[in-house]
Amino acid sequence: MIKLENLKKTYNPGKIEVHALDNVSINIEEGEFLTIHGPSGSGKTTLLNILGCLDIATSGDYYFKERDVSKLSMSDLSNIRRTNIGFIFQTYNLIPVLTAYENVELSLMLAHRKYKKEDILNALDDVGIKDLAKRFPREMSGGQQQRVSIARALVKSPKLILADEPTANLDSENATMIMKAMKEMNEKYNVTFVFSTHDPLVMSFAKRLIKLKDGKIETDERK
Amino acid sequence: MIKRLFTLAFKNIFRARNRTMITIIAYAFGIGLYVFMNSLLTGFYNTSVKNIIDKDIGKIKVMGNDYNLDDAVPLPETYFEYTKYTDISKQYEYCSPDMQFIASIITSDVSAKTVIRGVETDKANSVFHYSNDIVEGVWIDQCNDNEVVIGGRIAHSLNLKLGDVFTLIFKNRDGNFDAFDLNVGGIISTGNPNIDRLSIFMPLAKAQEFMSANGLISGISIKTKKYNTEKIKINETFTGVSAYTWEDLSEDFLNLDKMKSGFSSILIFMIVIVATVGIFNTILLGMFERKREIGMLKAMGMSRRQIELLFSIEGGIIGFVGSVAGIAFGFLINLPFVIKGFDISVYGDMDIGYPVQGVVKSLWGFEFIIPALILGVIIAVLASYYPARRAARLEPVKTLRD
Repeated sequence: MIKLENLKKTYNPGKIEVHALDNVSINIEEGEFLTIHGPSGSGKTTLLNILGCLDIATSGDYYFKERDVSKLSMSDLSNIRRTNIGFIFQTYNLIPVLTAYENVELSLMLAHRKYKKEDILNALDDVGIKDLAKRFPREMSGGQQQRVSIARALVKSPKLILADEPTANLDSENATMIMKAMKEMNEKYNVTFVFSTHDPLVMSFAKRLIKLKDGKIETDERK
Repeated sequence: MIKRLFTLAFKNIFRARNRTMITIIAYAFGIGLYVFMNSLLTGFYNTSVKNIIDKDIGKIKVMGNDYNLDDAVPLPETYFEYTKYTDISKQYEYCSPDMQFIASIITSDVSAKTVIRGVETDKANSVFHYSNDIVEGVWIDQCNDNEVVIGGRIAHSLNLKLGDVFTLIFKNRDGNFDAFDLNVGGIISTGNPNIDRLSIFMPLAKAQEFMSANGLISGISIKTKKYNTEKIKINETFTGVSAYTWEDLSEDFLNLDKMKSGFSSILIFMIVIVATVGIFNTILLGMFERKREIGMLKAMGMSRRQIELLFSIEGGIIGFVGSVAGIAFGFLINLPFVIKGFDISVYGDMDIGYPVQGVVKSLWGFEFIIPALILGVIIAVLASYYPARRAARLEPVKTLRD
């Protein structure tokens, strides 16, 4: 589903160059549940941003569903994000003035999907918080908010979900519950999950572990 | 999607409730002043126009050909034949001939400049309804031979009462000075300070006799509906005279009104600008505070245009709420001025430039509601344009990391 070939990302080109990614080549199949880990500054977030079409590589090729997206404009990348990619962040990034239901609904609206109320409630039910549909983010715990963000990412049936340190703000109990929920979704809907993490718990759930160091792939292990 | 953007924008603006409320109040104050000032000035304008048409000039004034618009009172050399009035009056139902000249009024201890208005009582009444304005004594049709009707303000300033004697000195048409002792037979208060402060009314025949101008008049006042067309018609039909509309003869007042409206517009514009800066500031701060959220919306696929629209709607809502509140505020402060009016007599004899006196009532400025609302929303949307554009250009990669 995803093919990266000799991907490079250089900051400050022509000045004091920083190579965030250096000749990274990866293939990711549909339905994979993989983590990208490595020390700070190894290029995890940069890789995740490029995979999520939030950023573009300095050189190299990025094929998403066999389409070369490395040369697309920001507007075209926005279209790909809207329909194919879901995001989960460490800080949840829910819209504070919208309820859990509305946050999930917004994702469908932006994806221009036709939907019914049940679709949203089902997505919330999938992550076990259907009862909290009318609550605002401030009225929920961190774990509950992260579940909303998972439901928000999943509801539009994306091909790929990118999760940047999704358990970093959660206690171990909540982190385990969240990981179980995502694993379940991965198995149920065959959606691809890519995690950027330091957390051994997240890595314990992964079927594939990619380790980055200094912008290069150091190891790529499958369990 | 638009509906959701409106919902989101509405919820967003009340996130910083205090800031938004202060901005709305400032905006409402500016818009409220706009509505109030325009209502009040329109009240002054309409009362002035009514006073000019109903008590001084009529809709059209016919003068001698040599009349100079700079002269407040026609000079004797511009007088023309009464027969012109006979001809013109055949075509107009409400038509009044007059003779005006400048004189000095002298009492035992004071003197003042005055304008004598010689009129035919019934004709003047048909155009100006002066007999309804008599506050003491009688109108000239019931005065004795030596009695005249004097303006209320001049009577007050010269301390003249009914029956009092004063002397009138003037230069007649032959260039000779004449003086007559006259009595106050009536005191008139028309609401037009030009009349009440300056005028003395007497029968036309007496004025003609005083000026040694028998068979002559200085002007004809006409009330007719389509006065602009009628003015052209009179000028084309009659020789030796020229017709002027009330606007032609009130150029100073109209210019002053424009100038005052201009000044008040500038003042209000400045207040609105300050309020607009408030909106700009509110939206800009909102943008800075919600950078991460904007990044998330963009990550979810919200386009630049939608982000711009979201922030513009937020500005527009503040503008709309502020404008509606401002209109309500404007109407509220206008209320006592509509019901009780604005008593300009507290300023004494000071000339405020409008031919009004006593209590002037403000109007309900309904015609200002739509412009105030449209203007209020447009300005607010424009004020939020820059923050909206900045928000739209934020890069999700950077903002999500903040």
